[in-house]
Amino acid sequence: MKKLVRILCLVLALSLMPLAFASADDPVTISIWASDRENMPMRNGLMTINMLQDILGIKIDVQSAPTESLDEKYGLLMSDPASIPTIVQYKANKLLQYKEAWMILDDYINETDTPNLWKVYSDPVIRRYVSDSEGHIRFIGQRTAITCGKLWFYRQDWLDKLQLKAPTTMEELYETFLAIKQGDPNGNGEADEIPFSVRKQGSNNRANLMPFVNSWGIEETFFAEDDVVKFGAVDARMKDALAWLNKCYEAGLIDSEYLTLSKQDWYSRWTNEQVFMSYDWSAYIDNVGNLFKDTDSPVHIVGTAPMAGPTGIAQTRDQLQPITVDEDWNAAIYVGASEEQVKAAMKLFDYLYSEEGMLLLNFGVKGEHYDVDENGNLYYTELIMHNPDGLSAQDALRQYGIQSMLTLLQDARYERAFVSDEVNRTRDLYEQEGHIGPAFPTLAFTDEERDIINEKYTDIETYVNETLDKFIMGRESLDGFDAFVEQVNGMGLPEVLKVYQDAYNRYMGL
Amino acid sequence: MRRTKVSALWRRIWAAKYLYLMFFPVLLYYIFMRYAPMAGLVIAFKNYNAFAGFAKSPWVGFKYFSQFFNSIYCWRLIRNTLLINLYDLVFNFPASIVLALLLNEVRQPRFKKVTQTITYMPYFISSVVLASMVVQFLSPTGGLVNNIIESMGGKRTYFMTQPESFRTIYTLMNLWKNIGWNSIIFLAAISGINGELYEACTVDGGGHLRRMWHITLPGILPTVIVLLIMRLGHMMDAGYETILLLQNNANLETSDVIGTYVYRRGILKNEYSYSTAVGIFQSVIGFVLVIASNWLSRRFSETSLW
Amino acid sequence: MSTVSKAKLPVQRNRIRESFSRRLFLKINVLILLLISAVMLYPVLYVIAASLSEETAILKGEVVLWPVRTHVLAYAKVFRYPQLLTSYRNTILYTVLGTAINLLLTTAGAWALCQRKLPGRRFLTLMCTFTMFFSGGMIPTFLIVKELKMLNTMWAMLIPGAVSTYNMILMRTFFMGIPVSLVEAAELDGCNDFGILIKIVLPLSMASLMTIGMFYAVSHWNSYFSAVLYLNKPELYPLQIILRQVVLQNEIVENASSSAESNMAEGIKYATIVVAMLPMLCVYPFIQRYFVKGVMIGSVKE
Repeated sequence: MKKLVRILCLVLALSLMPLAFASADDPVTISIWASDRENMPMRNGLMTINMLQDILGIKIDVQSAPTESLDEKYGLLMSDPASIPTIVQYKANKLLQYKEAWMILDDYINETDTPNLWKVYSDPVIRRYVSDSEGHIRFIGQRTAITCGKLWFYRQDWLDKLQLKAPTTMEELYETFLAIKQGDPNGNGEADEIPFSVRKQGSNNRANLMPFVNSWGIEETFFAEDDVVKFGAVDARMKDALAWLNKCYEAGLIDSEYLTLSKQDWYSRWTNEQVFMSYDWSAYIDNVGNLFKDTDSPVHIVGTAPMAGPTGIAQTRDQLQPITVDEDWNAAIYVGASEEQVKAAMKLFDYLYSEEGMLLLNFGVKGEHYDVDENGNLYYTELIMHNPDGLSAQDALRQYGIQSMLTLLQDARYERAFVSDEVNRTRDLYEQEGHIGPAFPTLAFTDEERDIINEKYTDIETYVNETLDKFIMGRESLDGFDAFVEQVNGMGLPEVLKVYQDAYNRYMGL
Repeated sequence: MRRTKVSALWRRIWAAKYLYLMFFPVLLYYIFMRYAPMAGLVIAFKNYNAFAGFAKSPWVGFKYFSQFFNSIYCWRLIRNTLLINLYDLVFNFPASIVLALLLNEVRQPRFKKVTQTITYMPYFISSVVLASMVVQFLSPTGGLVNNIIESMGGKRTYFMTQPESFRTIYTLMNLWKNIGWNSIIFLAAISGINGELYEACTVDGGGHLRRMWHITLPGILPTVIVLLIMRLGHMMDAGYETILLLQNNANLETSDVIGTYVYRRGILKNEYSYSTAVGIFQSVIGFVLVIASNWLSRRFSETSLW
Repeated sequence: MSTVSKAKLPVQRNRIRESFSRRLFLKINVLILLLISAVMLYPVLYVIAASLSEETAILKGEVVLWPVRTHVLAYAKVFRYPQLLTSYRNTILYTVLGTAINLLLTTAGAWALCQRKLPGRRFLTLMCTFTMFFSGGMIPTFLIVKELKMLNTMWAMLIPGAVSTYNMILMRTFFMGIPVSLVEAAELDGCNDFGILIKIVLPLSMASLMTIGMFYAVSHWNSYFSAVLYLNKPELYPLQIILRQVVLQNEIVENASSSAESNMAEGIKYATIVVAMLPMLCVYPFIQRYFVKGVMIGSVKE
């Protein structure tokens, strides 16, 4: 019996030992909720995450959420405050919807503790991207290296074949589309060309079609003109823009399936030699070009400046902002986190904003994933560029967690390393020739304002969404545009605009 | 006298102790997974905020209900939901009865078995796959349906963006998926009909159709009625997962149903209180329908669900 | 003699006429059923053909019924996709375990509810039936699952749907068809209710168990929404989540930097669909013979 007791004691002691040791030097654990994409993994065990744990002496626990159902997951996460992890990475407006959930970071960002963050966020222009309606910093954003995200591109070889000159205005573009449709550039004897085709992207099916209206100086929804917030869908200029879109749609110049076209179907239209022009992320100039790699098609895809509208405006407005507030990268710290966790999280953010952290997250480990040539230029190694497992360069990088969801500071060298000269040329054209119009900021609302938006704007949004498509597709005549405007106003647009104007004024410090 | 009654009840309860024991896990399930969430419906009357919690969220009474009834979409949602279900009820429900009747008349057992196997098959395909197949087949460029239309001299049509086509598409899709599977229960009911009745009918010189009309159909009527009552209880729900996958702005006019609306406002926009209020409205209508139809059925046909 | 033949003749003629109309009827019937079968079968055959066809043939619409330029590369790729195998294993686990739990609870519940000697039976039956038409909705259910600490465990895939009221009613109706005499005989032999259920009722209820088991198994196999709600860990994901990722490939956001995506080709999409539906399609024909015997429905009041 005594023996048994002794053994039991020993077992107990042994089992308690790890606990005793643990308390002394245990690293702080911070958990991160973040989107996990097939081509952009964010999981425990990624090389970069392991390295960050070693470098910073913390433990990182990633709670991956599948990107397909992020909105659902986020809503469910926030329905249960007890389960919210230390850090949540998501879109700015979604984070700000629950602003009471996040730490105010104003005092944590200073010259001594977080010099790298301070360098960026001491700039009031940058700071307002990450602030709530009272002007407090609520999250850390991803700093982008480039501003030109999306652009227009078309098949130069078709223009050459039909001896057409490059269009520069919306009217010329319409003529060009017609010529393409009738000129049979793919030479199959059928008028099966689709001069303009876009893929459906995300929840806004028209995302890649509506930038045409930018040439009229407006946006589809909210935009600011001389510091007055306006709603594009009911603007008088929208009627003209819709008339143009409808004219093209009726003539078969715009893809009739723009509402539902998946990326694959869009790709197959290109490979079937049907598409002339499109609008998408800049890298798609290369992606589309690569589709023809193994064919003998004379395809030549070039980027083009936006077409000028009736008043000469040639801009796109949905470009990248200095902080990517619209993307899933913005990181907020939960108010329920312990002081140590907050400190560890700030340490992590500051490191990610440092030169060293930037290199690790954009390029990986020197000598292994990248190297520096004699001129000081960075280049990726063979392991990345010609991966032995046959992965594309990007996939090769991302399997290590390089360029992952944690990359808070992007580097222009990374952006340029992957894309062709044509993409770089077009990006420069947009950035340097003034083709990038003012983007409307992501505004922060008070609770009362949010109530008004929920009550009024949700239905307006649905109504506008479906009616715009009806106008474009000619299911409803543009004669009804004034009635449409009246209806939207009757649904409470003036109240919503007032809320937006107030939030905008706060944002701009007016 | 009274005491003996009470003790008699206790004796009966004691006698059924093993049955209670058997039912206990099921009871726990219903209490925890079905009834406990119903307490959560209270958030429809509050401005629910997860950070304040159930108790501290302020009461707002019927604010969200009146918001829904005042929305320009209220009537459209109710109409769409009812119509989609009505289509299903009018076409798909009888279709599986007809299939069961046809199968019942087949005399070659092997053919019958193979036909059954084939018609059950679509049921095993998940809605994710089904929806993408529908979009693919209906595509105006290269879609199977449009290829056929064109080869017959018709004009390619973009069905998925036509509000007037949506209900037809959805109903046909469900017909394809469920007709075989739903016929099982009717086949079962048919096989339960007393064979002597058929013989009697044949002896009376009854033809095939007569037999079907006078014996088979009345024989399965109780099953049909019970299923119909259950179906009516779900007139306000519609498979919103599948509808969501088929929905786009252009067909919203007919494809937006209460389920997708609740999903959009509740899960995507996180307006829990509002969407719960709409959900309650949906449940109440369904509940009223099931009670009414059960009452009607009991009154006129002596068959009822309870 | 002649009277007999006279009496027989009309019957004879009647029979000949009837057998002609009967044959016609049967022919038309077979024709209709063949047509229905073709409509049922075609989309599935198309998917299988496409999964074996070359990419460009699928994109150009050359695939009609038979694979074009056949290869199995798509399948090779699908099976090398590590998440697919994990999710496959998970789905099998959820299906087997989930169906076992379902059947256990459903038979116990159904047998208890069909016993006349159970006081409060009517109340309990209505309590169950009520939930078919009135529910707490998604968010409250989620909060309960969370409170019970089932989030991110496989229990979240098994417990919330552990009993389907509809299936319980089906089984209860089936049980009611079991002869009372058998049960009474067992009772006289001193069997308690558990013994009766296991020794007498279940062996007689194979058809019902198989059919309702199949109902449950299919819903587990195809279930994906509870995974969306309750699971956050990729290592717990069921097949349908992966299927959705592959087939619908929702790109919600794509940054400018995500240029060279790994393109999941059409072929892979179709191959994944086939891989996902194959097990169910292989299993059900064997259980099919029980289907018709296994489902009965009637009023819940008796």
